[in-house]
Amino acid sequence: MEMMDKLQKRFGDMISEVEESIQPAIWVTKENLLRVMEALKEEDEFNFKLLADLTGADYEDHMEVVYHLMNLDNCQLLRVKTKLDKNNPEVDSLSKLWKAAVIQEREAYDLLGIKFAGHPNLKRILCPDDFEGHALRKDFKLNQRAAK
Amino acid sequence: MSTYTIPVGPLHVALEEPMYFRVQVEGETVVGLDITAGYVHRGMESLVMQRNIYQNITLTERLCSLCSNNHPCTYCMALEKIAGIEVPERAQYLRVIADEIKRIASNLFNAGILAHIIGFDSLFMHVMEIREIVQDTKETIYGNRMDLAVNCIGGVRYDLSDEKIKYIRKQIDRLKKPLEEIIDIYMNNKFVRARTEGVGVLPKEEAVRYGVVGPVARGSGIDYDVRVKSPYAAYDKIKVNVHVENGSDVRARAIVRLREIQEAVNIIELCLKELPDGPTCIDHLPEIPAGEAIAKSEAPRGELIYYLRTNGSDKPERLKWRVPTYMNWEALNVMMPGNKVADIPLIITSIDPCISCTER
Repeated sequence: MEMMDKLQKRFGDMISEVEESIQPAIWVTKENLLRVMEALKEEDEFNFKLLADLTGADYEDHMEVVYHLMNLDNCQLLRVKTKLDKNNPEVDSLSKLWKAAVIQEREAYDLLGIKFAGHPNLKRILCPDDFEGHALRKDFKLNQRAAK
Repeated sequence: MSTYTIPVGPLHVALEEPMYFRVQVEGETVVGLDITAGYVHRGMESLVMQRNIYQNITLTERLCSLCSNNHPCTYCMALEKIAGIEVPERAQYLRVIADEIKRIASNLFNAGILAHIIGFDSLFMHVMEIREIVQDTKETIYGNRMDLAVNCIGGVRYDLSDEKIKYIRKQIDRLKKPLEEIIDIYMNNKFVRARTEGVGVLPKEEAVRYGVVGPVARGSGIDYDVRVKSPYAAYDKIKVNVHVENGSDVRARAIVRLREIQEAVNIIELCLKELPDGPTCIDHLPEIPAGEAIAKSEAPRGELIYYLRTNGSDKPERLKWRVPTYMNWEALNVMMPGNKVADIPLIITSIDPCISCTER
């Protein structure tokens, strides 16, 4: 894919391609995330001005944050994923780059417990403030709450 | 002047949906806003991972009532992308027809609520009466007044006979004249103008920064519509005229919605004219392989995005939907300050919030 080549050329080792994907998708390590994202947004070559979607996911051996960026001129979508450690899911917040990240990161924090370093107001959004645990995690048990 | 904080909501702020605002006011003027969400959080994101792929079509349709057709439609599109299913052409047109009929009903509802909030209840009744024509059409064609249950993987579950096509044409013709009448009232009536003009302004630059979508974006001069920019279903074969307003206020957003109703009427007529023959659905139950995909559609409120990941089993591994209201929600922080307390419900209605999809 043309987009993939351009990305490889610009970022080299910082990214790797996601296998078996229908749309262009890349892996980025969490250390490089902010640098790559800033380049994707600001550099004319990529021009991904819109953060269309941000979500977290909990899998058996790891957690990940999935970002979808959109180029408003040609409406191309790019998926950026970053892998997190299940025991300490923490990643840099993108709220400095996109206003739209603020509310979406709050949701990922609320439901999955992913901490976004540098977020201006990281508190729960859907569940009440005194809620214990993170409801969308695989190890979350509803019964534990009911038994109390 | 000192600042006070007053609660607005959670019950019946603008619609019968719960939302809670802590509004800081100086006298009559709003100076700050704190939004609290979560009153209808039902954990559906977790639930979809416990149901199988086919059950989820029914489940996603029940996310919310007004854009209920877009959810299963977008979900099916994501599945079709993963499995590489080619949807029959007739089904693509039928999807567009269902989509546009729901859009008319949804936008008319919002226009009615706007009239109700500014105290123009005779206009509210008038709009709801027109909407009834659309509701009747839905009931006759699909059997339901709200949830159409149209979509399935690889096509649609309804077909239009010649008789039904004639019926839809007749109903749509009945819509045209009263639509022009109410648009004239919304645009030119003194009282409506006095209450909506210059209220809840969202400048274009701010709109881009917050990434707002749908009629809210188009009301602020952003020419973005998924149906045109990245067409799905049969929208690549149909010309959609996107109406953009530069007023950036409540009035501009209302006009965009009303113009969209007229455009939807045209689109349905065009679809009925060009409806190709053929099957309406693929003839087997497909197997869904492992993969991940994203699908987009233009719901009445704006761009709806589905992110789906499957692992080859019959349950999705992750399904997340980003609904339009989610993006428009935060922009209230820009629209509200500087306006009068009495305009709060009006501004909230102008983004046409759908709390049920937003909080899932």
